[in-house]
Amino acid sequence: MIPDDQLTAYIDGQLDAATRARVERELADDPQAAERVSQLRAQAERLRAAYASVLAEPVPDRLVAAVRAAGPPPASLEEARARRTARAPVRWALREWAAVAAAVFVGALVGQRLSTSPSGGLLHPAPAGLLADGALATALSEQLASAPAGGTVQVGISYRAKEGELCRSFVVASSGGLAGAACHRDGAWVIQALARPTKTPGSGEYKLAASELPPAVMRAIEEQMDGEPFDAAAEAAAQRRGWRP
Amino acid sequence: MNRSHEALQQEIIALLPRLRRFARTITRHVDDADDLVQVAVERALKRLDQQRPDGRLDGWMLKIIKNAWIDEVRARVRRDPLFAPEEAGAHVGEGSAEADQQALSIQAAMARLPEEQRLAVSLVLVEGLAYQEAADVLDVPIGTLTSRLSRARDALQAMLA
Repeated sequence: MIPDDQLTAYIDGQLDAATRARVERELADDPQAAERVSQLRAQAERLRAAYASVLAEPVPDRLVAAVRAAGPPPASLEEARARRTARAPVRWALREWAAVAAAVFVGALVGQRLSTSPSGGLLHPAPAGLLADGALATALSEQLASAPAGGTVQVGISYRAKEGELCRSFVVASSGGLAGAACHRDGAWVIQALARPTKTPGSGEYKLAASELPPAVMRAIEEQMDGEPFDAAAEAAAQRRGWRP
Repeated sequence: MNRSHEALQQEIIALLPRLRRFARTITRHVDDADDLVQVAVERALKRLDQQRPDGRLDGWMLKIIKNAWIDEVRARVRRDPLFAPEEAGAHVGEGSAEADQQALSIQAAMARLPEEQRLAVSLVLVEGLAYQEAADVLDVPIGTLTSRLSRARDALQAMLA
């Protein structure tokens, strides 16, 4: 007589080779146990079959997006539902900036002398995307937010993107103002986001603090950022490495 | 470190069909199940930086789903688990009407099992985990797992006879 827990362990593939061989020998002489085994097997097979079709269903985009865009966990199921209905397509913000960036070159901003300022062009288009140039590129490579320099460009936060590259936010105070974020890639700063900074009412000055970045830029950075913004030590270390990942 | 974070993200994406299947055995409503997977995935990624899965990723993820279910999602599911399958938005595949009916009656029987038994069945019989792996997911001794499994088998047999 084979104990039932051995029969179930047998069909679940949980017996060591020796026990398995013994159970198989005993099954040959025990029609009742053999019947029990085929019943258990049929039940397991029906269970597997009942859920097999889930594997063939297309995985909802929102789940793939949730893996790619690691954010803080929703505090509740309600929040997960709210995010599902509210969540914009993952790359929405980047597309928006691309449109803004393109506008710079189709002339929407012509007349504000952004790219023809006396300090030289701050941006130039390249196959890799829109690249930082002139004073902007210099500031992104050399300026530490923890040791702000005078000048038209102020660097805000530095952070690591989910893709691994190092990125920095910036605000340009001259020429009508511009704020955005750029990531270091193959020795150049590729613009990731670009928008007009918000003017502090009454001050007439563009705020330079990272917390004052335009909402579109903040959203983009939050979506792209892996972990927390760098502190002063991490920023300095990243600069010493030449902003390589 | 980032590369391996990305590699893990890729592995989790590859696991999504199985994670959805496990969640579907826990809560029959398709959207509730996917919400559960989403909560678990977001928890897992949040945790990746401090605590990497040292064993198999599937067991690690299944455990996060189980925990998310127990300490958060279970209290909030939309409907009683015994609602009609059409209402659940369930579809059971391209099989014959008879096979579909069969699958639906099994799923209904699963929904009537006590939760601890349902989880044991799901992990061992549907997901194919070894007893020890399933016991680890459920945080119970292996003997507890096998006794839940045994009671579940008897109950299912009775319901589906």
